[in-house]
Amino acid sequence: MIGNDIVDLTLARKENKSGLDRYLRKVFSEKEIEMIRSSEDPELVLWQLWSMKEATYKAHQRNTNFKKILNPIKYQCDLTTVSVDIDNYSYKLSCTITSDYVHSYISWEKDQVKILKNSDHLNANLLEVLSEANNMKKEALLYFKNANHLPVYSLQNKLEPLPLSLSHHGQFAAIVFPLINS
Amino acid sequence: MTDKEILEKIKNIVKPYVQREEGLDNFSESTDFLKDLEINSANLVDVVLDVEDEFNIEIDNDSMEGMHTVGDAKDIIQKKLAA
Repeated sequence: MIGNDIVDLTLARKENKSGLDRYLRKVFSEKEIEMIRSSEDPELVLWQLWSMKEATYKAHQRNTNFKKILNPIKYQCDLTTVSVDIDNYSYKLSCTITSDYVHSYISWEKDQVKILKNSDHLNANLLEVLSEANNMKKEALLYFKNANHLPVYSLQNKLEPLPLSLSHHGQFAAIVFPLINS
Repeated sequence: MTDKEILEKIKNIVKPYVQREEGLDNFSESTDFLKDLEINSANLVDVVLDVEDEFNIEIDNDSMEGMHTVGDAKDIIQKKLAA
């Protein structure tokens, strides 16, 4: 199970979404709107909820192989348990919140979580990150999209690719992936 | 409203949210909002709201789930306008 989403708060806060009633009602449930409004920092809670929904959407998409666009209101967030429910599934997440970004992800315990700053050339840096974490040469690794257009990576000579979750927003990029020998 | 007019309006709506400008050069019904224009999904909600305003229609969440391409959006708009 893998999925992640990063929100650059400097960029996101400019949008001032917490004051836009129609936007809130398209994206969030009554309960979630209440969480946003009752918070001391509504924008932060809004983007945390958003990133939880988006990360869950990515994991759920891999899990169930559907090809729909994110329908955010269907994804119900619980901030106490840091989990998201969608249809009959429930996903447990991790959230990292700093003054610069919110990062939500779903992963297996041993998966690697990397945050890159000022990453304009994510695809170039990606192989570097993967090779370093795996302690393997860049040339030995291959990054591509599978038949469902989801990112995966593998050893050059191996057929079984591993899932990889990528997220990019503003000056941040986030990558979640399992190690090849794990 | 002709197909061409609807497409022109959609193009103007998406412009501020497009992160891959080349995607606008051959803007057509097959243009994919996420893959070709790289509009992020938080902004896709903005696109839906702007489409609602421009055409004076309401796009429900189930319709939104199927809105991958400009052509999908055009079909939804036409269906709502005819209703």
